[in-house]
Amino acid sequence: MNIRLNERPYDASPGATLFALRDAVKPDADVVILNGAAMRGDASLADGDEVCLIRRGETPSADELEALMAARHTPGVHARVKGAAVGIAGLGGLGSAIAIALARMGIGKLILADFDVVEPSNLNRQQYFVDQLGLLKTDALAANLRRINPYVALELHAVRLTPDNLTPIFGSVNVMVEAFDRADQKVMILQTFAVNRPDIPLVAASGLAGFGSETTIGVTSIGRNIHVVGDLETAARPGWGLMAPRVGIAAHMQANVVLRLLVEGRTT
Amino acid sequence: MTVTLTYFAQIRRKAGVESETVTATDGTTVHGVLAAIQHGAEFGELLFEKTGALRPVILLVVNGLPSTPERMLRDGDSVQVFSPVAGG
Repeated sequence: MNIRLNERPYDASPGATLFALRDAVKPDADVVILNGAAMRGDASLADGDEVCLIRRGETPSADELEALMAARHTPGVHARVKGAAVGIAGLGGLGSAIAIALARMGIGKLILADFDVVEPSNLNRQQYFVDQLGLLKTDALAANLRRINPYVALELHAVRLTPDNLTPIFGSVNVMVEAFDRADQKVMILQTFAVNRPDIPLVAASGLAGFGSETTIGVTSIGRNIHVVGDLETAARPGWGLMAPRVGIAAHMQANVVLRLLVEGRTT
Repeated sequence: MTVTLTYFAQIRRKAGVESETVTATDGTTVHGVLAAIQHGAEFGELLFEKTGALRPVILLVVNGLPSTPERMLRDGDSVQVFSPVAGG
């Protein structure tokens, strides 16, 4: 009988039941899911059934987590993503959300850089928790990412990025993400990295403040290999701040542009 | 020489055009070409400091790659003018 067990093909004996399968394969499982429904009682299995056996609090093995993730992706996506490295400059509202989205996708490696620590005002939009206040953002984000996907390789740089260290830190990535807060830093990375490494696509952001229309946030291609997400105009300023919904939209658009570049090599 | 300028966001709005072709003396710098353009005071204030220098938050992309205001242009060059805004 051909079934899927934890997203992998499994040959079950004819007449096998759900609990017998559990007892044979993972007797310590305390959550048993059959075709998407958590089961409290035993049930007969049929060809094509999908069974998921979970022990609460247990981290899946690397192979198991990979199989689980790959099953959710379009065929071919996971292999591309798993073999890729992405750099993220700035781990604030954009960078922290982008890192989490890519980790959930099973990205192979993330190179993360930010000199800053988690502050209370960050919590309105950045992917940190109140018990992480005062921690370096690199360390706090790494801890959060490891709770989501412990198998993503992480390279952390708790440094202020400059024209001198940008390329040495990020020169090995497949795609570079600009997630800075200040406009002059955005210009700095565009003038430095895009010139030194024009072969590496750069996904930047500009214009995502406030709570204006979400539909004005788009992707604009500038130059040979620069893709800018945002409405290009709405700057963060007193009285018109950065807020989780619109920042999140922009961050996930950046993550999606990264994904398209990795999988398809283009964004159009 | 003839060069093509393309503007983005608020620079485009103040220019009143998305793109334009301008004529200049061979070897004129990017700064020189932009300084000669007349699209009103607000356009000028977006691009230039009171000293006449290009504002540091203006990104210039010449023929697909970020460049500097001192870059000397040649016939047929394309220049994109973009100003990233704060927020992230």
